[in-house]
Amino acid sequence: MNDPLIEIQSLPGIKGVVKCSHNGKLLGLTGDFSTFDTSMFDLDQLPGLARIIDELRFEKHGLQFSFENLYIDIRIFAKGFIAIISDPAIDIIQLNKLVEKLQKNSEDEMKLFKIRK
Amino acid sequence: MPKAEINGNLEFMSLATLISDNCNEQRTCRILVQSENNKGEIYLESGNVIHASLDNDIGERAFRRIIHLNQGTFKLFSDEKSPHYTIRKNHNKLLLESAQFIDENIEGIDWNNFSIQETGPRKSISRLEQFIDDLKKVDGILGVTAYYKQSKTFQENSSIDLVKYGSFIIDLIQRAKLVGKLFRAVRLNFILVNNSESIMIINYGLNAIILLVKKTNINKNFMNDIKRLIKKYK
Repeated sequence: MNDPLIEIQSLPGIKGVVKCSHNGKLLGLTGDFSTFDTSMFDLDQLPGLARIIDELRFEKHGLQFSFENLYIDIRIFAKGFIAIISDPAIDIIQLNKLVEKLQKNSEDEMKLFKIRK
Repeated sequence: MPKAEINGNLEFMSLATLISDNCNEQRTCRILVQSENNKGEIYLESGNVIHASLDNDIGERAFRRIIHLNQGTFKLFSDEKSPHYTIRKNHNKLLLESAQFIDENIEGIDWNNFSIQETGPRKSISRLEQFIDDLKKVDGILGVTAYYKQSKTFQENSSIDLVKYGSFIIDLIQRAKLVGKLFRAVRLNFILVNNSESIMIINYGLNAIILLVKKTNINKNFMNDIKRLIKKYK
């Protein structure tokens, strides 16, 4: 079965996806690891990021940050969160549709965080 | 020596959140903040901010400087009371005013020659007003709320409670900048919160503009219009 993030990762402009547990443990740089620019951020900072995300309490809501050089889309799930890092010129509407589809499908969420039935 | 009840790193927790939470819980405490070059204190008494000091500054000026420190550590000591009363303002209003100084170049402000009454050239306010006027013309915007300098606000067709959500929005901007820092992003343009109605928070220099947008109205044209205006008024 396909990784639910593959469709997202195939969008033009996606730089990478960070998958992380709520306590800041890195669960994966999903999809094609070779395309992810790991120099973009410091993995040691993930607990800090997790705490920021956790404190914002935006469950079920998308939270997107648009910077001059990056677009960061953060989605929160029961088992963790994903941060989709992309070019600021990415088609936000298309990305949003795909991510919402992912959020609505619990099967996908289980695959995303590798939860066994 | 009293023992700190809470220790933390400013990179991971903003002082705005810490103060807001403790004020809401009506606590009395001293918060000691230490960065590489500064050492400051903020005292809360029964949920009110009553004193702040940083280097040679005291009162609101010290509070504004401390609240923008995003590197260093803090320690919270419960039930420690201040002998000084230099601040007499609601914590939401204090945080709201402090947010007006949030800027990428905050370090560049000459705090020694700065006061809240001297809020920069009139031109920037009129430019903000022009920006808002242009934003109001964008199809799909239901309401606009803006934080001006000197706590002046503009609100049209928007039900956002400025007192209730003011500190939250400030905090959100600070945290967005922190998240950006982790990913080496530069210059926050806007934050988008998706719900049944979307909220877009535009980070505009020393001001914040909050747009209430019907989710179904967020399309490619809408995003292009917003990006074009941000670029125009940058």
